[in-house]
Amino acid sequence: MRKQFVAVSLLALVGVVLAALAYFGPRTGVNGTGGALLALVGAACVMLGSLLAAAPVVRGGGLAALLILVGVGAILTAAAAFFLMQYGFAIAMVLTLVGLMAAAVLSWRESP
Amino acid sequence: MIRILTLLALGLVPAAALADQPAWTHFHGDPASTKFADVESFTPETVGDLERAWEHHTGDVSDGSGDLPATVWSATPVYANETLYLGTPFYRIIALDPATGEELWSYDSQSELAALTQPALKNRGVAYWEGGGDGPCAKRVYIGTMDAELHAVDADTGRPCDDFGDGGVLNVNQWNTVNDKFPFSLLQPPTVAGDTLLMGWAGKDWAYSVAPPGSLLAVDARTGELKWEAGFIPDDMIDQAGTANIWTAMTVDTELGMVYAPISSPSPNYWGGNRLEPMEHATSVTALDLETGEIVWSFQHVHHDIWDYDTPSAPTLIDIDAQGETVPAVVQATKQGFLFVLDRRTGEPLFPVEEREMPRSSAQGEEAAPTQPYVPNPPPMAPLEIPDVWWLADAASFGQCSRDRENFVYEGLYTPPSEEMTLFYPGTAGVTNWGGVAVDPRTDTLYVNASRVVQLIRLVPREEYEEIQGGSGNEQGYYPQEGAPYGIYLSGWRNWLGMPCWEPPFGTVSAYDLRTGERLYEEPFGRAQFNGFYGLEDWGTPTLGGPVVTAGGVIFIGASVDARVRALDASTGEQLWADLVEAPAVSNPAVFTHEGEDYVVFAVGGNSILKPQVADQVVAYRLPD
Repeated sequence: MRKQFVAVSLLALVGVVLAALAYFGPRTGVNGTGGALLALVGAACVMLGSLLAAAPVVRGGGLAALLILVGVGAILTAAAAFFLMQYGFAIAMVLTLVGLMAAAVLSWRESP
Repeated sequence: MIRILTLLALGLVPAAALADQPAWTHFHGDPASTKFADVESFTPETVGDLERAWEHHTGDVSDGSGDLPATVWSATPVYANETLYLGTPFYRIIALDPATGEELWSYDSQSELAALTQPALKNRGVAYWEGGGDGPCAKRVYIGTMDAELHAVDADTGRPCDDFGDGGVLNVNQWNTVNDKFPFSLLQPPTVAGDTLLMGWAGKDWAYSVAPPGSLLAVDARTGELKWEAGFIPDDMIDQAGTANIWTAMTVDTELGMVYAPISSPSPNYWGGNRLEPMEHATSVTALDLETGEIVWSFQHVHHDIWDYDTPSAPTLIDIDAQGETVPAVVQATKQGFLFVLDRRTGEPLFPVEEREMPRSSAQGEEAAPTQPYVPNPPPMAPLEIPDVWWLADAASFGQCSRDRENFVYEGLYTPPSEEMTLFYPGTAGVTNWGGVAVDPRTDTLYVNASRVVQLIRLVPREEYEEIQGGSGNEQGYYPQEGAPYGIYLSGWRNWLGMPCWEPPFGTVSAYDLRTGERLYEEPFGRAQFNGFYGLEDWGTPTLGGPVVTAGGVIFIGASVDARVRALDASTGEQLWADLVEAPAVSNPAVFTHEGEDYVVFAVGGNSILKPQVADQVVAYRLPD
């Protein structure tokens, strides 16, 4: 288990929670909109992707491809959150991205 | 309240002084439609502290998903008789305590909740009248319905005024005697002038060639008896066309004894081959004698209108001080983006109006007017030429927008609709609409929000139209224009993602010096929103609804797609404060003083022209103690 990616998934979980509040919460300005739902799904995918990256069975090229996908997902989700004017959510996704990059570097250094 | 009662008891505040507090007794604040509030506490320094005083939900709302049509609510709250009155899209009157939002009484017209003429249940509020004296119905509130009834109730109790019409209900459709294709829908409250109620009506847009001819009805505020009626279509053309009606508010100058009526376009709206003879009052601002209804002057701002460039808002009266002289003026903002400033005694333009050559029509039987009025100064409220293609929408659609721009017909302002897909700019909702303009009479400065929206229009030959099973929405889709050789197709100019194909800003707020015509500033206003995603600040937003300006130098306005109400610095257009509400606030706000406290109140109802979001919210703001 790569614990650093578990930590990244927790950051993404914060994004999921904030996205859920934006979508389901009353009077957020974006509640019930397709854009907020898309961002919620994006944050959830980033979280699941980060968890998957923590699994030791994912290695080598597969891990690299997964991390690229999760990183792109985090960027797009952060952009979506920005245009939804959900700035806390956007910051959470940027931190997720930063965490993901840091975790990737750590993972690369630790690899035999 | 306790503080005021205490002061009254001590004799420190004369009771009469309360009556002199700034009120908001008409749809646009006052009979002159200035939308100016003589309230000084709201300043650029203080409005950042605004807080919600109260919020009220009327319960009268529908998103159209159930049995009822969707609601469209553009009611300006009316503050009079120390009470706040609202009409709802279910055709109820609600009286609220202005300090708390508590409901004092309500009146249900029991009107049929059906989209008889318009695609939605619509209401723009109520009218207030007081005739002096005491007792029941000495003060009255009126509401119209889509099925052409005008209800009068006592302003203190909400009980019907039995001496008005038949038991408090006036059947306005009794005067719908020519080409009776639809009922006279009373969505706009009457304009009150002394003891007279002035009424236009709304009909079924774009449905028929021959329709009821537009009329202005003046009735007695006490009895509902018809005083006079004025029409705007020449008698010899009544069998060929219709409408040229007044669906929006009117303006009154009691000193000059005139009512200023914004007259809409004639039917059919997008093809005029059956009405080629001049119709001098259609699409005009027309002044009528208040006593007799005789037309004093008329200024037509679109000749032979085939774009539905209705005169959309009440003209605004202002006495302009220029070159050592005070001129009584009337200002008319139009859908095509011009500000016409006229001498309200004569209708003569105070700034030169040129007649410029315009494109010819290729439609069957059509002859577009060879020239149209053009005002170089004041500069138009939006560019007259279609905005450039927006690179972002173009890139996202792999060049679709550029290809559209190249392939669709466009020959500049007043490009006639044709059988080819035609770019239609400004679109049918116009650069401005019912919100109109606000003026500060102390400085002769005008404030206006303006939209920049491009649509597509096509005249669909009758045979082809009959084969199409398309539906229509709120100013989108297919419309029949029965009796004309063409139906129409109307839509937004967007790429496959739904992005506008034209470059932002999509809406602005501007200020003008009416003494010189100079534009003082023009700033992007609000934010657009699509599927939840907001545009950038510089992109602005299309707007419906209008501004109010206060003596403290602040503009209050809703109107934006992003469901915010805002306060702007009147000297710069800069946003000072905003609050999220439950739908676009497409009404004009009301600003008034009640029991010594200043309030700004918005009715928040939404309009599917902007986006499919509806609400029944009334929200009041005031400064903290």
